[in-house]
Amino acid sequence: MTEKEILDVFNSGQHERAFNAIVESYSERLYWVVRRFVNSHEDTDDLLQDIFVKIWTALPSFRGEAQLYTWLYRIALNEALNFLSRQRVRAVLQFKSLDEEMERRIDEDPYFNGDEAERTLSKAIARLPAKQKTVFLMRYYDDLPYEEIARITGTSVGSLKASYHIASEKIREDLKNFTLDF
Amino acid sequence: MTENELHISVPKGYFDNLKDRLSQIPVQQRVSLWEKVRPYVALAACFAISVTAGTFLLNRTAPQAESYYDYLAAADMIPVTDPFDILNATDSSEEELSSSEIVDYLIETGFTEDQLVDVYSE
Repeated sequence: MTEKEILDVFNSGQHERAFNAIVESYSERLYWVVRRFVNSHEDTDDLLQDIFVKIWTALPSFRGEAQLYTWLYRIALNEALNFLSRQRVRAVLQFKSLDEEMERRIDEDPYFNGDEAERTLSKAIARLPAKQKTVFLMRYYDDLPYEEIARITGTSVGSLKASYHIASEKIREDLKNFTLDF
Repeated sequence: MTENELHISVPKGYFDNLKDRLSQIPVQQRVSLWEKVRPYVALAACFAISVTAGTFLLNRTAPQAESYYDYLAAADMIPVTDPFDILNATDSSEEELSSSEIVDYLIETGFTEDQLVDVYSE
């Protein structure tokens, strides 16, 4: 079902059918969006439940000014970033850093199948500040244009380009011993 | 396992299971709404039960108000004459009728003169 068909179904009063179409069409894509941020299958699974509860609750207020997927992506992104903020506080209370916690997650992730270069890349991304991480993940993995990222994050294209440039330089430095293109 | 370009995977059949679970959210949210209002409904029910039970107990224990008909029935038992008047009453209070009062009474009730003469001549 296309975005327009889903919205037509929703506007005809069939809210549950529209929601189920969103689940069918977008849950897997949103899973990978969140998974890249939190580096844990279990946490991603929990967050997706919260994300789709928010989508169901907020769906009546969706006016169609933005594309449906942009709106869904924004909700998922907010949840993922809020999760990382909570993790940062938790790490501080345990006299650790969020970077350490994220690296531990990547090392102990039973679902990680990459080689050492991929592992190093994941750790380098995990160490980036939130804004740089966001723009890098959206550009590198989702191949989203800056204009679309600007709509999702509510920031300017110029600022995003600067953040992506800085993030790329940091990652390039971390991966200087490997041959990865990005 | 499903794998993507991140070189991370998910358990087999995970996404089918995920979609099934997420599709239940509207139903769960309806249940959640009931869960939210349930304490208030319970509180209202307790209040209604307390009021009903209190009213019932009051009706059982408080004296019943007499109806108008009950009052009329009891009226026969209320002495109209003061009992002291009866005790103090004497035969002397009864006056004897004079012969002229008897004649007047008989005339009023339709006796003729001839009949009166007959009565008094007997």
